Amino acid sequence: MGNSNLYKGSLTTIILKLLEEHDKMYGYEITQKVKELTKGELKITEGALYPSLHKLEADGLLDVEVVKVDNRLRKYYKLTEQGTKETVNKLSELQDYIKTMQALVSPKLILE
Amino acid sequence: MQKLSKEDIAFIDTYLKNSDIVFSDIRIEMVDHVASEIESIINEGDNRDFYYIFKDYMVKNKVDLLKDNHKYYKACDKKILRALVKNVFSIKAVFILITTFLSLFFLNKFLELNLFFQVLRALPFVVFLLFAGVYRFIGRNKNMRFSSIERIAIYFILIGQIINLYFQGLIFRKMVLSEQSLQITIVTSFLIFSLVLLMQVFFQFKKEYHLKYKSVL
Repeated sequence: MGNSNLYKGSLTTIILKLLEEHDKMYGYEITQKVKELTKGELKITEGALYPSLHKLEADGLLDVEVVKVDNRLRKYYKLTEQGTKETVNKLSELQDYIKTMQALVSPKLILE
Repeated sequence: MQKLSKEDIAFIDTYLKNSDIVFSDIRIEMVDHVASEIESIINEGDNRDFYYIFKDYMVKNKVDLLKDNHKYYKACDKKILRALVKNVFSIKAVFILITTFLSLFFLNKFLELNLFFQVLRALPFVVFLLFAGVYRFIGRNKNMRFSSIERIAIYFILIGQIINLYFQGLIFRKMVLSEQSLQITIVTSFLIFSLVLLMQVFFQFKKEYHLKYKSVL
């Protein structure tokens, strides 16, 4: 992975976006999906993922469902109604941020 | 796809429990994460015994896993505070506060002043003990410990301390001597209200956990 600090601020948006596309997901599944989508470029650690998930749950953006799977319990996360609305806002914020960064880093691309 | 046995899962669970991850709602997903990771390693062709793979995984990731545990407490406290604030500004809360105040206010009309002060002094302690009893007997689940339910005890203890400091302290004695019954009634109403509010949040969390963990409780 390049510089993990660059991705830190976007972790919440990444989680929300993935949950928007999938009905429900569990922690390990999220880490694997991100790894797969970014072809191994971005690896989310447990220490970063779970606090973000717990924060989103505490903020009322995620709902939790616990199911018994393969001899153990699995905690699935899914978006709440508030979470679905927040995903739209967060994605829009991220897109604006990317545009701004693009304008700063390669202004020619924007002008074209 | 090879899956870990019940004994392997129990081993991971006990290991994490002994590593100070005491709350079930946090440990459940850590156990699942570690187990999924080990299963993935085995399925990629690692033929070693479970314990060796587990040991190697923990050497690499234990610090990161435990870091999550501490961060979770912050999220948990935030959740409790958020629920308290939400409840304070509800119509139900206003009703509870007004009812408590009016009940004490009218009690003042019927009781002799010294007796009234004694009742006000005892009442918050009685409510506190009553709620502490309810919390102790129905708050804890035999098999699972839930973070928000146990962390809320900190707030109970805090209010208990405030009650103790106020009624055993100089301020209360001075107020009694100067017969400030209205002021004492207001303070007592707020203290009882805080306890009722905490109890309300406690029951909300209990219901929430029952809904989320209904498959295993």
